[in-house]
Amino acid sequence: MSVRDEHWTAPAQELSLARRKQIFAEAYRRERLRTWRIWLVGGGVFVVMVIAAADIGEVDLVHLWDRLPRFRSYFGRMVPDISLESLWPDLQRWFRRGWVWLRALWETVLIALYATSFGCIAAYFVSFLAADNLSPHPAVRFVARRTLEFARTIPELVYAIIFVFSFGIGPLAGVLALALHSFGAVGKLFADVAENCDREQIRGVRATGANWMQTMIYGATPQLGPDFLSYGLYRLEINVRAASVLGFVGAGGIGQELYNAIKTFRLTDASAISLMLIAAVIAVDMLSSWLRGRVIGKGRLSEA
Amino acid sequence: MDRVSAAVGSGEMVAVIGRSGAGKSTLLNMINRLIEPTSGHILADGRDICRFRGAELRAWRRETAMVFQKFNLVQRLSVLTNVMTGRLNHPPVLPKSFGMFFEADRIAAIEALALLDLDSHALKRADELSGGQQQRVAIARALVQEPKIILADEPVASLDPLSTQAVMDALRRINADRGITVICNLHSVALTRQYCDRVIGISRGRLVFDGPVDQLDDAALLRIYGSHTALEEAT
Amino acid sequence: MRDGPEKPAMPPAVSPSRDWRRERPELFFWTWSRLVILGLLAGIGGYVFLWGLGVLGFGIDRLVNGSLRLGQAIGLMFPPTAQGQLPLYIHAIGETLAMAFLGTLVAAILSVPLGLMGARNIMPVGPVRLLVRRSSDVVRGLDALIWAIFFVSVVGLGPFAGILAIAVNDTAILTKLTAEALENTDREQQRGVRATGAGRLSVINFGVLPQVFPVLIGNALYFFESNVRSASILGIVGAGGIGFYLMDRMMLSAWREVSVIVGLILVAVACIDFLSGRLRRRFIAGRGARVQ
Repeated sequence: MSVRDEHWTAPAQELSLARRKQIFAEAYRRERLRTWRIWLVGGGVFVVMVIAAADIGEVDLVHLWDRLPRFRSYFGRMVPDISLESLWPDLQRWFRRGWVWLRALWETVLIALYATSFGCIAAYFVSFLAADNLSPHPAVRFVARRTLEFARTIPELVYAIIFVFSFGIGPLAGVLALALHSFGAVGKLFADVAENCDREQIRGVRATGANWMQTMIYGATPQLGPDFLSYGLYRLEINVRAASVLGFVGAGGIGQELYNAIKTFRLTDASAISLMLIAAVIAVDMLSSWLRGRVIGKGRLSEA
Repeated sequence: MDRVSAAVGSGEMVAVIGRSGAGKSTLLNMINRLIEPTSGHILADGRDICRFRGAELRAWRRETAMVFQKFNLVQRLSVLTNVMTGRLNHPPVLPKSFGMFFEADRIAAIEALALLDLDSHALKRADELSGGQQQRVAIARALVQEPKIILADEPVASLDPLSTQAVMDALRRINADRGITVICNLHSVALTRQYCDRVIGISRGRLVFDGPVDQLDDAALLRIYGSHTALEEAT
Repeated sequence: MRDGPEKPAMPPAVSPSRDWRRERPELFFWTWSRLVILGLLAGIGGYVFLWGLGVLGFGIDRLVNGSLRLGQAIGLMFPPTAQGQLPLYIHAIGETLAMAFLGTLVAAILSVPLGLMGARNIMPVGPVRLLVRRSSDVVRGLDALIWAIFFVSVVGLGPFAGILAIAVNDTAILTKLTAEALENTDREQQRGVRATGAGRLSVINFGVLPQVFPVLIGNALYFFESNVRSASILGIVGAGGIGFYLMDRMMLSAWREVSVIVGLILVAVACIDFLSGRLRRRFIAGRGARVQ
């Protein structure tokens, strides 16, 4: 926080020490007052926003307190009856539809894998068009950026609902919806990274007479590859979670089963499915982190 | 640049000298159209290259290979791949966009590296090499383009004296053995005298000297560099 | 120095005088055996890929017919009309924004102490750290929409359930990010503070928090953006916001109203993205912390 320039110029002759101290004290006080005022006004606006939001959002803390026991009973019903004596049969009963759920979970992971791959491949090509230093033409860049924005602004489930209507119930709609949204999200990240690459290396390739595509492949991709892979893997983690709720609108995966279980109050089923889902998500996260570590590790080697 | 007019014959080794900021880089970059001239013509074998577009322009860029001060190699790729990128515009073009180089391209690259004593480093990553070695890799890349002209923009400005000699020797050898025209920007008058036949002097965007190297006397140097201090820095 | 009259230009070597393939085989990557292996792998990969597509229900006929229906639906979306329901939709968007705002706010506040408890360099007690990190992993594993159904069952329909869902999910996410940010702080600054003889709490206060603060604010703002998108969906399960109307109108195939709703969502998200971006730049740049 620096004392801002007040267009105050030093007078020609020397000032006495006392006078200088006085000027400084005044400027300091003015600055502190201004900071105080900004914080006060900002804080006030913030409080107003919170109150307005709480009103629209129907926040009712008393109601929440009243419902706390319901919370506990709900949770209680999710926990199955398991006793140590009949541990194995109890577990088997808890997961009695385990195989069905496993298949649905596998479908969920597949949806995420395919959607992320399709989205990333499309994003790879478009990102070069959307990067201002690499794009063949400013108009192309504009269109590319707007397309990416549109794709990532609309939530995945909105796409999913529309696609279920068009393509029918099932994972096909889910893959397309996730892929489209991922294309936008990842494309923006790729383009931003591409704008920061070393232009000299690209000039070197261009000077040999290579065309635009060759220049991107040999000049840009070697620099950006590890970053692209890293963002793609991160997107995979996000997409597995997104894929798990696609079933709520009929777009495939374990969502359908989970939704049914909760709505029909088969809460032990719901808890079993949730546990399997969490395990799957954690597994994918760990795999993705490990891969990302390997990829970035190799990349970093060059930044010696 | 301001009304520069010069003619370079094939097979010459030309030095372009002048103070930094005088316009030497601009001149060179206009020849292969990495910078666009605002007016005038550049004629090569009678054709105006300023009118080239698309495939013609890329073909011209293949024929005027460039060697940069910062080498401009793709750091993460291997030395061999870097050299092979010089063949990207050699027909057939399409498979090369996907990384498939032909046997002939690979052999040309290895031969070029061998010529510059670098074939033992062929599989290393470009950034593992020293400055002088990287510049020679850049020269190898220029060589496989089978160019008519090599444009060297301050090729030795970032190098130590030993590497400088190696690189200038290589350029000289290529010029002598293969008859490729070499136009290089140099910041050192001594190097100019040692390696080049002809000198073009640029001062503030204007051509102030154009002649054989033995005509480069002190008066001419003063005209080119403008002041004694600048001249001392260059010698 | 030139040594004599000009020599005629020599053409470049036409035929190689050395058999490079035999001399330096390691330079030739694509041997026949490697090509065969590549072909095999590509074949297997392609087969697996296509099999997966089949499992997921891909088919040329489905894709073509679906695209046609999609085109039809998009065609039916124009001209957009709200059928007089615009005030209702605007209120719903307001609910959506309120949900995102409060949910993120609560999560941001709660994630600070939890993040501190989950950071290796702050919390020396291992089991506590482990508990915090693992439970946040579990809570993170379930999407906000799942939490939304859960809260609807507990506190009833309406945006309150949505706020709670976003708050719970985001607390877990932000806790992880905060703990990681705390663990990644520059040691040197902490050492400097410790060298003045400061106690542990002061080291945290002056050596760690100032570095981490811009990152936390940046994360919170980024997730605010993301939560507006999530919040617009929660209505599908009754947790408030515009999602309910979206689903409802789509079920009725009222496409012209659907486009109005989607348009409203677009506008809301774009506005928040813009604001959040500006705030992030002010905070991260204005604090003098050069975050590259």
